[in-house]
Amino acid sequence: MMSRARFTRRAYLRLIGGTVGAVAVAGLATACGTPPAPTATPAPAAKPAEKPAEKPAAPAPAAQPKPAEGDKTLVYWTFMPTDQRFAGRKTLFPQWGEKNKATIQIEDVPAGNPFNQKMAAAYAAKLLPDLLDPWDSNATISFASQTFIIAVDDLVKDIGKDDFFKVGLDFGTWKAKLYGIPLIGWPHLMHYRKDWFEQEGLKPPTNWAELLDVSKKLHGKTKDGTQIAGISGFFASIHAPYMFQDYVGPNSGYTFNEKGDVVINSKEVREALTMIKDLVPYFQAGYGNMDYGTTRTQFVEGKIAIETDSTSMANVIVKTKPELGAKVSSVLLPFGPSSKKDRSGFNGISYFSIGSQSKYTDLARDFLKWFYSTPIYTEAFMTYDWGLIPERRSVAESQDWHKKVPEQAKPIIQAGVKAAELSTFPGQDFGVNPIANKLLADDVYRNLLQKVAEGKETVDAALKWAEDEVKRIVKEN
Amino acid sequence: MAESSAGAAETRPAFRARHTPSFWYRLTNSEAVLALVCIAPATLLLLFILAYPVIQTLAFAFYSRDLLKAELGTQFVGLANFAWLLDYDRFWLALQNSVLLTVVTVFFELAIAMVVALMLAEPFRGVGIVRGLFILPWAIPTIVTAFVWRGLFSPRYGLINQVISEVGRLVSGPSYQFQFDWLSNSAFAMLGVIIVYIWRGFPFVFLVLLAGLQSLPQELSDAARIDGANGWKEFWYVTLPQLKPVILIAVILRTITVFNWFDLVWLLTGGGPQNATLVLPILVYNRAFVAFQVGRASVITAVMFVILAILTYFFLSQQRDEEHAR
Repeated sequence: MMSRARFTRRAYLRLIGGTVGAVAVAGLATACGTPPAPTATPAPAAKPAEKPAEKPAAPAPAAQPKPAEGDKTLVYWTFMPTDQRFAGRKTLFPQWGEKNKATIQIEDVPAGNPFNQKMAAAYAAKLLPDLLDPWDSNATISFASQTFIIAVDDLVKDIGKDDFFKVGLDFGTWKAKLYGIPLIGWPHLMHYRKDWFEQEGLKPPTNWAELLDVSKKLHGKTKDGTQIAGISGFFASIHAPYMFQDYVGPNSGYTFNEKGDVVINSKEVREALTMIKDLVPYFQAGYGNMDYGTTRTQFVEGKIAIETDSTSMANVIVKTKPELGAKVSSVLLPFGPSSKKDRSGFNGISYFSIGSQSKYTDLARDFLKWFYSTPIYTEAFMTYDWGLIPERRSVAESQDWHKKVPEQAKPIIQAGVKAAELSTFPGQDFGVNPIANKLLADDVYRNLLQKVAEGKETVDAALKWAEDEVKRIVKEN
Repeated sequence: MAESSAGAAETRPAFRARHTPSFWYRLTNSEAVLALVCIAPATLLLLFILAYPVIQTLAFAFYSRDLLKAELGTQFVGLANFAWLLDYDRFWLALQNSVLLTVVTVFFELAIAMVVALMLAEPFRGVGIVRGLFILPWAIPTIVTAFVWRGLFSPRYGLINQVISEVGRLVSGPSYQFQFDWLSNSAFAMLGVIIVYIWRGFPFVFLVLLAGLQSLPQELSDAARIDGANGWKEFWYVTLPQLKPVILIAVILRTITVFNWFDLVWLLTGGGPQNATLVLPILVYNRAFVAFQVGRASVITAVMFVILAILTYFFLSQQRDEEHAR
């Protein structure tokens, strides 16, 4: 009874009403009151400016440190973890910073959706980074079309456009403007166990007939106590398009021609698919659901004789299995019977771009000019992980760099530089094509490979199916 | 009291005229207003964190937005996305796969969980440890579950093929080796996925049923036994009917979870081979984050939402009907 008398329903409702009213009045007062004095830092959680590179990941786009007096801070979002893959940023970037009274604040952001989402949020909050490295052509184009980044044609012209691999420039170009400076590439090659080839008296294959022959001869052999597979296959959703391209590209096949017509049902692609079908018995067990990260592991563990994979293999060998360096070699992907030898397999290329909301655009451009200057860009590649190919030809071919490459990585790097000139992309044979993403979304390449590999349909029937699918997707979009 | 009763007819209008409660008085003494005020904070919070995203997603189903053609902006396209969906053969395939996966998984989860819950409902020495072991799969992160099972299904080194090989060797001789790529075969991949889903999901149902079983009154079971019911009859006529509300809740929750489950099937098969395990969440992911078509991804989400809403309503109305019948 006492409690009822003290705190009645009416009192409760009054309390609620009073609280709501107070909150409303306070809100009104805040909204109508004098705005707070503008501050240089929008984020409360400031990081120490003197140690910008040591923070592994930024929790939010707003987390920018207050720059020192007279100093400018350029925020740089990178998908390549600094400590693991590019420790040299910590020593290189301050060199430019000292001269320009500026700081490059590096924030590691995982590639893919986390990066996309963070960019979208930052754009809305007007907190886009000043610098960023979109991890591939699609990311660059997506950011360009959303006006997250600005065109850099004149900058590339100043640096030396002709010195960049054409493929890199083509795939950073959208609506006739270049939106990212090609930074690094990791083209696909054929890696093979040199020691096993020698033991069996085999030579590295340069064409498909030889590739089939050596795969057949090596498959099922016991090496170092393990029964090995002849050659790698990787049909997992994420990498099946690359597998398709690693055979179609070196046979001069296309999904679309220059006019954008669907030309996937061609002799070149048919030969490529027939080759894949012929190789199926020599793939490692479980290829149907494997990505090339797994086949790389199996190759390094001595379970596969030949592996189609990117130049990143060099870093794996140098850092985790240096003793394998003497036993492994790498060459360009073998060419098919219809090849004009002007095209090879897949290549991943990342770019360096400038955020469209940057307050320091001139400074960012100056930084990029400095970074891409031959000595700095060369030095940068001495600190990148081994297995990434510079996109500037003069640096990729420079003896200064090649001399510094560890011995185990040299064959991979040498072949990788050649492959960088010839690299191709599934569905994007003549530059950026947004339809390619729609083909990936509907798993067209993977389904095509699986149809061919399962053998329930002929290669012709599978190819006809793919042609119809691509045409349908083109029509829908 | 007697006086007031006798004179009530005459005095009431005059009394009313003098004592009609004020609006404020009625407002502050109204049961309905009190109820509204009490639930308002929670309702507002729910509206903000649940309803707003749902409504926005549903609204996007009527718009076209392609992030690779961002210059076109967001355009209202009416029912065009729905028309596209009806013509999109992968949607029908994914819907079929999602329904199959959900129905089979939830059915077997329920069956296995019921058996295990009945076995572990009665206390015995070490029952806590045994119950803990059965709950373990639920506690393992999805990514670990996926990689463990991919290992088990692995054609060459997987435990499942190794066991079959061992048995085969006993029958066919020492050279027999069984190598089957379970998750890469379009005829068996869905079976593999279902097995992993059941393994990962049944502990939750087991926990729900166990809690339900432990809360049942013992008297009814005792009475049934005195009346001569055997174990099966006791379960069928006494335990099961009483457990029905709990089962219904478990079915609703598991149906929603399995129907919307993305990461496990993605990590196991990525929707392949040849779309054999393509389910609606994968379709949404591919449309939104590979094709970058937000409107088309939203229309699939909207359909999933409607399907689940209808199913949930159906299950809940079943439960309500039963409660009314009682």
